[in-house]
Amino acid sequence: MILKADLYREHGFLKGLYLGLKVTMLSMLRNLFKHDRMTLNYPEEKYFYSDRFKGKHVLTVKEDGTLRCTSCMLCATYCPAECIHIVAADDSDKEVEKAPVSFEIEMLRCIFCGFCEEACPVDAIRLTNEYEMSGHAEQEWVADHYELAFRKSLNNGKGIVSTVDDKDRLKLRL
Amino acid sequence: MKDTANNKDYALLSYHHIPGVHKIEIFERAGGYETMKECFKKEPEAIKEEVKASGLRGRGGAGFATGVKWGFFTKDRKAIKYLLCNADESEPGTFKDRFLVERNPHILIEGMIISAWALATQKGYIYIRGEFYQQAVILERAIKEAYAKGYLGKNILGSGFDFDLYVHRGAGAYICGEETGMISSLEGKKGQPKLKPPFPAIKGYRGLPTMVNNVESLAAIPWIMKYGAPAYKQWGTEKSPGTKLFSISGDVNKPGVIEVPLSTSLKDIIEIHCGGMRNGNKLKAVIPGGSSAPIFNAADSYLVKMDYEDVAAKGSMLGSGAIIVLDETRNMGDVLKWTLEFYHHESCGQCTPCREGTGWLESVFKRKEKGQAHISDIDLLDKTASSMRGQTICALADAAAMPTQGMIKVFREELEAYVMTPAKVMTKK
Amino acid sequence: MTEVLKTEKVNLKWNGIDIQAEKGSNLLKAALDNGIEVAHYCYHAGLSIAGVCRMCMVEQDGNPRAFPSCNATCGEGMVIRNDTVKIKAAVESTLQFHLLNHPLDCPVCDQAGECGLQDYYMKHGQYDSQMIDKKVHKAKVQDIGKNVMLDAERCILCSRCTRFTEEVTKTNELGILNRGDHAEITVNEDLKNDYAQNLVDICPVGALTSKDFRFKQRVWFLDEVQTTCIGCETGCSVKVSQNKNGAYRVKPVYDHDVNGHWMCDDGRVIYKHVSSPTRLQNASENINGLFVPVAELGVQAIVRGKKPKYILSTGLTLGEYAGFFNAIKGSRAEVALYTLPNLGPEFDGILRRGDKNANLRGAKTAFDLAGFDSTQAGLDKVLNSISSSDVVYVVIPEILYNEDHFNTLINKVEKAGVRIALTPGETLSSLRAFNYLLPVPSFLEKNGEILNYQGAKRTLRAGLSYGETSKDVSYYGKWVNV
Repeated sequence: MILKADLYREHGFLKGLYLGLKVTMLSMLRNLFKHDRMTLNYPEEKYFYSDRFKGKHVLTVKEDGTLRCTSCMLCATYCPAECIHIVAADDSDKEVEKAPVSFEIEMLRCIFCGFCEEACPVDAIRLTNEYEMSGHAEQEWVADHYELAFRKSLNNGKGIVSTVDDKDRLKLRL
Repeated sequence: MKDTANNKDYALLSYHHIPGVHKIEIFERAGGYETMKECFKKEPEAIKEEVKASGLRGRGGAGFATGVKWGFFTKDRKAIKYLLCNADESEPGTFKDRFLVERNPHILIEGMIISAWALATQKGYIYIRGEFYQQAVILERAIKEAYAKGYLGKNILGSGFDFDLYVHRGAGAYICGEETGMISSLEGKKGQPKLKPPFPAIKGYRGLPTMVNNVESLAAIPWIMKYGAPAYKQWGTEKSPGTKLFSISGDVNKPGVIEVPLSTSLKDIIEIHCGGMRNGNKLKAVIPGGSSAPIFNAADSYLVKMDYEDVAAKGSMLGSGAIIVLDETRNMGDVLKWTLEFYHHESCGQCTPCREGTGWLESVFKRKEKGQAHISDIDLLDKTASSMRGQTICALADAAAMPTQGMIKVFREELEAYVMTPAKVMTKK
Repeated sequence: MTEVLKTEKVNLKWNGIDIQAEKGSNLLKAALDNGIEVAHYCYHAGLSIAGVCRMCMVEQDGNPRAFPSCNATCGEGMVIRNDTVKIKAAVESTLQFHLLNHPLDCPVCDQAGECGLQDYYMKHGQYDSQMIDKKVHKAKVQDIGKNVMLDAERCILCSRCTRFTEEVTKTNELGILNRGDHAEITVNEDLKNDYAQNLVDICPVGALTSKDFRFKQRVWFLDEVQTTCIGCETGCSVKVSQNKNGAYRVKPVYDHDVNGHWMCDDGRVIYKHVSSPTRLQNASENINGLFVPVAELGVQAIVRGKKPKYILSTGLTLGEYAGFFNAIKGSRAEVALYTLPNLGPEFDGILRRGDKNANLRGAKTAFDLAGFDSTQAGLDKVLNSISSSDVVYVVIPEILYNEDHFNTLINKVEKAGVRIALTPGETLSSLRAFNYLLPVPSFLEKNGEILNYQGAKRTLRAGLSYGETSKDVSYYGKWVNV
């Protein structure tokens, strides 16, 4: 804040005081009677981050509701916090060939860097704008693939269908 | 031995005007097998020298001197070795060997017996193309007749020399016309060319020395032995002596097989021997040596002389002498498309550049069928074809790449127009 | 004559570097042996030359045509180059042809990370694809038996596998069907040879993968430890791929004197007991058939003063035998050797031997030196003399090929007062006959040497460590003097 001694000398005390506090007063009045203030009454009110926010992970699904992930483990390889644990197995569908039987993220270890999202070759993992995570026991912080793909907030438990659907993928294979 | 067009009295087709010459009695009455009997009195080395002196070049396509090839063969007369006649004539446009075998099988058998005596091979095989069923039957019958006369089998004509001859029918693969591919096929394996070296003359059929010669080369040998090398050299040029069968197809009035001396101009062949262009149409292009040879445009065609050197100097190859004449009504895009389809279908799948390249050339050229064509596809074709050349065991990749590059060089605008013309789409009702 | 050829060396120049090679030897091999990188797929030192991948093309001074170095032989004064513009362009375009119909399913392919196509693409790739055409599709996910999976679409038709079944095992199960870009590897019947998993090793791409290793780990998570196979007395050089979670696979390492390039399928599973969930990791006491962890000191208190009888296995290292016999010198301990029974024929003609005792020769030498009887008679004598006042230590063999044979020994041991098993493997149900179980290191947890059938020293190297399994070489002898 820049003190301008000239304000008093030029405008006298009262007017100088008014001019000095003008911005503060106007802000106070606006915040009292209008609703565009910066602070929120969390948790009654919630802030919505943009889609680019790196929050809780989501595993996308295909149109038939199975996981998009092919368990190539590139995310686990890239992960600087080493918080992704995948167990892969044969898939009954020969076209898919490989799918995870278990996909776990240790949320307490995760640093939300988004490298997993960048590493994924099939758009199977994304970071969402969900930022509310709370829990007590350590086990609650290990998110399995049911949590990651089919939690209530994702399309009411149906999961998010990734944009590259199977037909598109087959079309890309030509 | 007259070289007028009407009286075909040349080396190879000298018996062809005689009716029923495929029968041994008639062939012998006309003077056949006389040379063979003479040859058994000569030293084998003398026969080899005579063939070498004649300058006869392999008629299968590569044009390697037969006498020189024989020189690489083992001189050990006791060792087991094979003579293999390449009658797997499958180059599109070629049908000279079929004509030769069909009309006069005995000239081939006589040539093979003389060669076998010179090279001391105990067994001979005629590997004939699978589609040539009729010709295989004719050959089998002729061989049976020769056996009955004692020209084949044990102790031929009291010379103490044994020679057995068999006909083996292929299953219709183009690549079995390549000598090592043919050997693989004959061994009962998949018809795939083998790595060279070792060459078949050292290690061929069943790992033993094998001499592979074309039908036409072997059939020329009785004439050379009868009249001598100097007589043979009166025709053609110094480097390409003798006569050659040309199989002419396409838009001419009289397509067919002709025998002319090498170095006859292509213009003469088309205008005189084949009676000019059909329907008076203008000549557009000529493929001078089978589908694998680069194409000539009309101007070049009228200048070229049909011998190994001149055709090569003009940027193509004489190959097997299959002249395909195309007139102005032909679309070069279609010609290239069919050529590429053929080589894609016939690649044996051994070497990667050929296996994948032939297929890709076809798909790139057919992109317009999916509406994906771009004018730069022609450059891609050229680049792909050039990267296939000289990269494979046998010459099939080159055979697919050369006509592609030749066609792009000569008819680029037409190909660009072809690629950019949308394909006719068949819609479902 | 071959001896003369072997000693004759010639000098060559490869890319300007002087190298030496045997006269008449393979040119590509000479380059690879001298540490020069030459891209190749179809060439394999243990197989015949196919010359089909066309990756190892080279130019020679004075020869206008490029030729594949795998089909050339070394001669004096040859000047070879594979770094010219022409050759580089040829390798690039040939790799492009290799990848043309490749499905690019690296995310689900087990070969990713050690794939020839990936490796060479980084060096010789044409990074902008011009391929927009329909690929040729072939059969995927085929189980062709003997723990081998085939994916014909990923195959680059280098024909290494068909040559292997033709030349090494002579069983000819594999072949190439169809022509051109429709050519694919097929089996005429399921694999039946005992060396089938070598196909997985020699496949330069992901066409042939191991069913045992399938989707277990990505290869970049694994470290390799070079050790010796303990599956039989041949003692092949192998490397075990492992990480902190356990061992995952065994692959052969080239060893000119013992195993060449290959190893048998039996050797592929020797790691199984090491990281098995039932592996004994702590000293345990048998309480009514349940093994409960116990302090080793407590066990020592119980056996103190009792007469020890030892039945050793043939799986210890030379160091362990020496340490053991050193410790029992002057004591009243009795020692015998349990040898595994012969399985199958003496020798199958390639590598595998019927005698499954990895270090039989080492054990016999150590027994003879110490003056103990290592024969079956010696074992019977010790077994028959067991009384209830004895404590019997049995070192369990690492891999029990024939459990029934071993159970007859256990039955005889049951007379002893205290029975202690020292086991480097799993907690087998037959071990309920023992009072105490003590973990000892398996072949992957100890350094040492064993003697194979030739009497040659083969080295074991430690890689993993589980619980209390890592022990000093003198551990076995420690129990004598408690």
